Amino acid sequence: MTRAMRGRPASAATKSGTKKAEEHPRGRVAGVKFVLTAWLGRPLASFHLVLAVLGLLTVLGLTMVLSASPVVSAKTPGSTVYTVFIKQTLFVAAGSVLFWIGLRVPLRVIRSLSPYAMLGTVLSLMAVLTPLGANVNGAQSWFIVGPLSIQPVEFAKLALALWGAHVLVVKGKALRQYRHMLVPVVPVALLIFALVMLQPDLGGTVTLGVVLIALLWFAGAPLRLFGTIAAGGLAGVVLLAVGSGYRLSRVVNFLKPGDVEGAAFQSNQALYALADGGLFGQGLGEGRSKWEYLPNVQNDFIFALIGEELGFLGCVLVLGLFAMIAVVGMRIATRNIDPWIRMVAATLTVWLVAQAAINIGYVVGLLPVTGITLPMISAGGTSVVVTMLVFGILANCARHEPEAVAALRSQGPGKFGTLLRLPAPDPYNPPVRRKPARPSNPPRGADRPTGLSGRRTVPVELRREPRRDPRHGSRRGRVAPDRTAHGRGGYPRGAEGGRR
Amino acid sequence: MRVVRILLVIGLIATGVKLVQVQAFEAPALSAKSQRQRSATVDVQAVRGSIVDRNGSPLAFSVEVRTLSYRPQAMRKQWDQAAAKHPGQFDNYEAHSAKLAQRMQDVLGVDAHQMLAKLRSAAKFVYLVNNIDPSKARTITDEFPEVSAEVRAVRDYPGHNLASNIVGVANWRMDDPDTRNHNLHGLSGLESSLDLMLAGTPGHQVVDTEEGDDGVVIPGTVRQTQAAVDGSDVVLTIDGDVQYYLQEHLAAFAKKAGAHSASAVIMDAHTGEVYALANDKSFDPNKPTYDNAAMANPAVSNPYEPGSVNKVVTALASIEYGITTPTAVHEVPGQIQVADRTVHDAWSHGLLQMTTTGIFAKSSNVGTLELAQRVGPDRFSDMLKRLGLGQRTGIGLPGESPGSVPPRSQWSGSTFGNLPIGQGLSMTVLQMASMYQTVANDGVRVPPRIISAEVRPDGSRVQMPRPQGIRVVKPQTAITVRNMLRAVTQGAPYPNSGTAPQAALPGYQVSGKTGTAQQINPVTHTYSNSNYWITFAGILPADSPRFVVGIVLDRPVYTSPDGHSAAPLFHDVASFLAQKYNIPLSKTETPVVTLQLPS
Repeated sequence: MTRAMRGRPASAATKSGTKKAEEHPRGRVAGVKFVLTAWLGRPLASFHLVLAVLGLLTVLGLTMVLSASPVVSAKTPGSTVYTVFIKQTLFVAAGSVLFWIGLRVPLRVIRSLSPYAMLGTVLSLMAVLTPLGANVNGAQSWFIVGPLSIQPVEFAKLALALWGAHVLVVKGKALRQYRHMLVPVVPVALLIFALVMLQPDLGGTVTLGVVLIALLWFAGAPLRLFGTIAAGGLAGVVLLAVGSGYRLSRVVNFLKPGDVEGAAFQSNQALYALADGGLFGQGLGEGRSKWEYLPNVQNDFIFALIGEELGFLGCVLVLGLFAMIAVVGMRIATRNIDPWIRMVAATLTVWLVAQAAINIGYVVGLLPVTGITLPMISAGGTSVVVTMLVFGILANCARHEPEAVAALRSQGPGKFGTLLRLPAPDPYNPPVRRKPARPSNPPRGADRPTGLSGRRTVPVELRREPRRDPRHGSRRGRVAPDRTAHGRGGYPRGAEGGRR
Repeated sequence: MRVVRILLVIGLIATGVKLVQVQAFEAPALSAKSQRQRSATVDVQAVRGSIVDRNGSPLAFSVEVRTLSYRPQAMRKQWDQAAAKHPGQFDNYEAHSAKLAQRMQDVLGVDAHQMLAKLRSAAKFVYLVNNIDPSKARTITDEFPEVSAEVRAVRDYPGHNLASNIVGVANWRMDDPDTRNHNLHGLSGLESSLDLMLAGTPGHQVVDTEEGDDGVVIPGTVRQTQAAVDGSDVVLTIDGDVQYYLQEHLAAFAKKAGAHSASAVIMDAHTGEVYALANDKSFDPNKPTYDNAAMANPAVSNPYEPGSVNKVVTALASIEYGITTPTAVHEVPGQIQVADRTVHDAWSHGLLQMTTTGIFAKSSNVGTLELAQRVGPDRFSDMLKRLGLGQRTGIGLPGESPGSVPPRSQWSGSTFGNLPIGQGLSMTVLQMASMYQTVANDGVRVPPRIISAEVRPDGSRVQMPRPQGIRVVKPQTAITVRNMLRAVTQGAPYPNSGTAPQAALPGYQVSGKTGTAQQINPVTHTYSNSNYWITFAGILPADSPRFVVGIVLDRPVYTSPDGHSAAPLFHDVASFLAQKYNIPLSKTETPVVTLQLPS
């Protein structure tokens, strides 16, 4: 939602509005918009939206896995028709627990644990390359413990996001220097990339790259840096592609479509499935592609089956849900004031949505095929568990929006909160400032070397000023955030910088 | 953050736009391609109809089987390449084919070495095993998907040799270049002549199948169905039990008598339905190879000269036209001159006083010719025609011979000295039995039939049209002749004994007639004095006929005890029939009549 909508006075919910709606068709639209705005203006709207999207994605995912997997499942030695689906259900159950943990554990605890999580995942990524890990389909990516198989790279993504945000936020103003911007986040990330590429797992590396880029972006790194990364990434893709037969054939296939055999087989089958779906789809369960035509239909290419069985409408529903995540996630990021929460919420959102966009992109033939799964929908244990944990953290962030904090603290946790025994969120407490190194505190950016920040000639404060809605908090009749306790209630600018 | 949000949403929208392109604009073209790759036309086999006997017991039915085939050349290449590329992960072809051959030996019981030779041959395509159980084929193709299984059917003949000369044999034909037309077709017998009725019409349907396995049809995708029409079942008039008895005993008797061949028929006295039609030689159609000689059905295809059995024509004509009565006494000399030929009786005698009954019971050639002369050649020729001689009976079996009767216009002077005593004309055992059926059925000849009904795939039963009965003689004539012929089995003291007292069956009145016909010596082209057709035709019971039996033996050892008469076989068959069908005993014993006045 845009700020403009959010900024509408809630008190305008008077009879005049509905009257107007009855009189003019235009007024009816306005009325709907008004009701929507009023709903979105509630303090816990973001939280409820996250829950709703997660619920819908989970149900859709389970349904599609049930539809996609029986043929593959039955053909796997030692499994029955429902083995894959039952596994997925169990993983969703486990994921629900992690979701609850992510929602319940106070964010400051999560933040304080993030360095250990990072260390742990780096170690596990190393361990997976040893004989402790298992090689499935030519990638040394799994720990297999009894019936469970766990992919540490999924946890690495989350750990990188949490720890990266922590480090960048702590660095604060020091980020103005390249050295601080890049170290230690980038070297650690590169180490993880290297470990993941040793498995090898290109899809995992791409997602990790997305997380890194998101972190740097929200930390306010200069555009030039992204240009460099883009060039380096492209070179990396070429190198990797040339270095491995199957990747090269995927890229060649992407650049030169029409080849029906070999590498292009999967992409083509995905297009066939989508085309067979048309507008309304063949009907749930009626897909033909799952009968061994489309390899990996139950995980990487499940979107093609959605297109085939539920048609364009089903695809739009999925796209809409991920767009909703993008909007709600960014709304959570913008409405929070704790810079770590802001950065974490934004990064996690970018990760989820970018992963979905890349997956759907290669299924529909816009991108070369990488083994990236569709979050919450593809069958795949670790991915679903970690994604649900991410949703839990995102929902936790939503509960830390200042308005939500105020509402929850003043009016109690509500039914849902009571049910899940959720603790009241902590209001943001800015860190005690060290004495500035310089006598005065000039506007941000003013002291940057021009070479580093050439595009940003206007100081941040000045740039942000017009975007602040003067009506905030004053005429909206909301419960005002607790100003007295922290002196920085309302919507202060983040002192630690970063992009909005 | 707004920038990022917009970027993310734009990314999603871009995929949405591409989706519109794929799912709307390009959809028809892509759909057509995907349709092509997964739709398969599946042939639906028409099940060949069964052939069953009059009680519904199957004589022939079809069983679905699989034939395994392989592409040795292509597979050798594929496996060796895979093994070279990923050593350790894949077997090379030698190892793989050894595994396959071993598995086939375990599952199918075939010889692994033979299989290995086929698998390792340089051929592009080989058939590995024919006609195996579908579930076993499935075991193999599941483990070795490169082995393909063709759907076929085999014909099962549960009775083996039972009625095999009638039913014939059908086998799998692949002569048609269109594989969809490969099917079971008849080679001989009814399987061949009724092929159109039995085979049915194969159908087909279009289905979507799983990738890589056309055997797995995706549920709910069957369309464009052209239903297969199964073949009709054919119900015969044959009774399997009677057929078995006749076949066994005829073969045994022929062997005992040293006959070259033998045929016999049992038919219903009133309807002409054939209960059994046997030859001494039969074959087992379940075996892979057949003896061509044994596959024929000489009972319908080989006519023979009937000998004295044919005297019934004279008997019928002379009674019908009031020329004589059974008890009328005739002077029968030892020989008779007909045109340029002299005909003797089978035993030498002087002038005898014989009753009409006696002439036939003792089978006097001279007496018969005397009576025939009085009937006249025209009326005699007419009677032959009315009895169906020289014409096919239309029984429904392939290869039926009409026999041969010289046309009246071509008769020479001596012809009329031959025909009444059963030489110079030929008939099948069916035609012979049919003459006696006329006598048994009070003068109405009903041509014999062997196909009773067609049972269509929908279960409806279509009765084969009953042939029109032909009134040959007045009912009283037939009864009189039937009663006269009882004397053939009369076992009275000399000279009142008939020619076949062995044929008599205690408790039943039995009519019959023996026959001994000279065969032509192929070297001298004259009638031989050692090669005979031994024939017998009988009616059981004579007072209330149920069955007519005809028997012919070809060239038995005439001097052997069983070689000069088929009457003992008739006795056995009649005894079996009487028991099997619980035929009521005759009310009175056969009266003993005078055949020859004491001289």
